[in-house]
Amino acid sequence: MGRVAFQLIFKSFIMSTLKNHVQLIGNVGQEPTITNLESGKKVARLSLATNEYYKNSEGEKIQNTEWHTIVAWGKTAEIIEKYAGKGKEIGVTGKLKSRSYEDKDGIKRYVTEVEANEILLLGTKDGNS
Amino acid sequence: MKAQVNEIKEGLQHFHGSETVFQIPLLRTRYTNGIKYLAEAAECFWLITDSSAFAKTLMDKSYFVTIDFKRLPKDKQDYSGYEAEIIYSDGNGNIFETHRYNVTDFPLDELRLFFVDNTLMLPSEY
Repeated sequence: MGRVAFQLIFKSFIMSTLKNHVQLIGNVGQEPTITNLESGKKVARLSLATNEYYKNSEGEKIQNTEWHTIVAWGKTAEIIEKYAGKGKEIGVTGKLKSRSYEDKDGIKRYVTEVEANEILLLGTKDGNS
Repeated sequence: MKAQVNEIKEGLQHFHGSETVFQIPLLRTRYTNGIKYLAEAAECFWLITDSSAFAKTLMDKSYFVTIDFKRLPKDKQDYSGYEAEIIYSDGNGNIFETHRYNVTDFPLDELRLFFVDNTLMLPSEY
């Protein structure tokens, strides 16, 4: 491959890989909420816990859990509905999306969620990861 | 070398239009039979990928892109440090970009290609 071609392909690869790219591996918190829209589209919503471990100054192992909201549409939502129940270990790739809504008191709230475009089912077949 | 150059030049004259087009997978651009012959005879797939990749980025500037390969005269090579250049233009003298190559084993001294409709071709195949 020519130098120019390589540079251009590499640049476009890097741009598409790094631009708003999220990758998570964690456990599903609650049973995912599935919504069937009037348009026939399916939306799945779930919270995913990722765990990180570190040792503090006393040498104790500390677990740090972060919770992420995952939203998936269409086929990905169907996979979540069928296979990604509470406690399952899954991998998610997608992008960050922010939106705002008004709560019941009329206050504008901002949320950032991960919109999944691919789900990877991890852990064992019988459900325990 | 001279014989190879003549053979390539003669071979290139046989292409008029192209019944088959080939695709460069990563770039998703096409090239014709004549280009396939050139790439194999002159062992210059680098030229095909380079010119296709760059001409593709020019598609929003011009529907029609001409690609001119030129080996620089010896004195200019010594002076500039480059052996060859590829000039991308719209065919009406408006140059978009010039890429310089320090060294090349491309056998021809000059060559013109067209990039139209996402397809790289010999001028005779247009």
